[in-house]
Amino acid sequence: MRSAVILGATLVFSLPAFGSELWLHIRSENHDSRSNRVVINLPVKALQKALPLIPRDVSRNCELRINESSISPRELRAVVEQLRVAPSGTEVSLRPDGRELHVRRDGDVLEVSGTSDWNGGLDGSVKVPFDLAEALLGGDGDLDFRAAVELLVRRGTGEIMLVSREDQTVRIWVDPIASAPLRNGRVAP
Amino acid sequence: MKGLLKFVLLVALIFTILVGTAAYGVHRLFFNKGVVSVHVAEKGRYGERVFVFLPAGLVNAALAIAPLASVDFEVHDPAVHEWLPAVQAVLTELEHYEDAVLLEVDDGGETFRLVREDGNLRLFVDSHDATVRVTIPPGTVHAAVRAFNRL
Repeated sequence: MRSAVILGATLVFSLPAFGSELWLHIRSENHDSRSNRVVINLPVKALQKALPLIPRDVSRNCELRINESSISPRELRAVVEQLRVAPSGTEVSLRPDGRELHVRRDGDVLEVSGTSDWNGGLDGSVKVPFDLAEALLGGDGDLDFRAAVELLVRRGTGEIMLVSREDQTVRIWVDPIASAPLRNGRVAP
Repeated sequence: MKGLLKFVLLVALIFTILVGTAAYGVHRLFFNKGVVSVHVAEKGRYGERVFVFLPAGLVNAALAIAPLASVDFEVHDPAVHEWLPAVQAVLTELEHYEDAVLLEVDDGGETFRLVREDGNLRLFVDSHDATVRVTIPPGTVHAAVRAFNRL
């Protein structure tokens, strides 16, 4: 009994500490001949502190863009509401800007994809955990980044977003590792 | 002769104390906040090399009194000002974390890296023409943000 209480207390007190050490990683890679690459690593807690200080216009003017089409938070919120109660595998089609987009729920993942006949054959898809999409779209108007980051801290390590295009991949994830393995123990080249 | 030796020793002692105190004062005032360094090395056989090494305390003091309003930088853009509090919050939080690569851009052979190392922010640029290495202690980063905020 005593060891169970100690174990429980350890877990309760270690959870916030674990959350505070999480790092958000963004990696964008182009697969063309120039092989461009962008890597961003930031502590999740730093994001939590910075979010309330970010200009309001940023969250107000956010929209999801796939290829040349965009979906407003309001449009996506309505679709997510529809998919929440629908069985896994359900797909909803949208036609923002006259181009067709498919929003699909596969288990715990929300996928937004374009059709392959767009834009000269280029197609793309965005995958996000369904609960993260719900948190982000939880408010009435703007995207709720604060709720999304709080969810990330609670969830801990895991994938956040995978954007796939023919020529580019963007992966966003959270883990407790600050950055890629250091060279000779140092981060500087 | 003995009196002269005593006098010389006394003068030497006073001189040592004064120089030591001044050196300690300069160190406390300027160097204990770290060092700002800029190293530029042009590539090629006859490439120039520039190395600037400044005590961070001196840079911080200069930033506090510099008439930056007369400088025509992008920082005059209101959008930049709106982002400064968020940038400052991230920089303050980063001081509590281990060394890490914060940003890395590899653009077809040209590399830009922003890292946190030994408590300092370090910037590395490796282009086709030159390599640039800049080291900025956290206090100087905050002093720069405060200076931009005054604009």
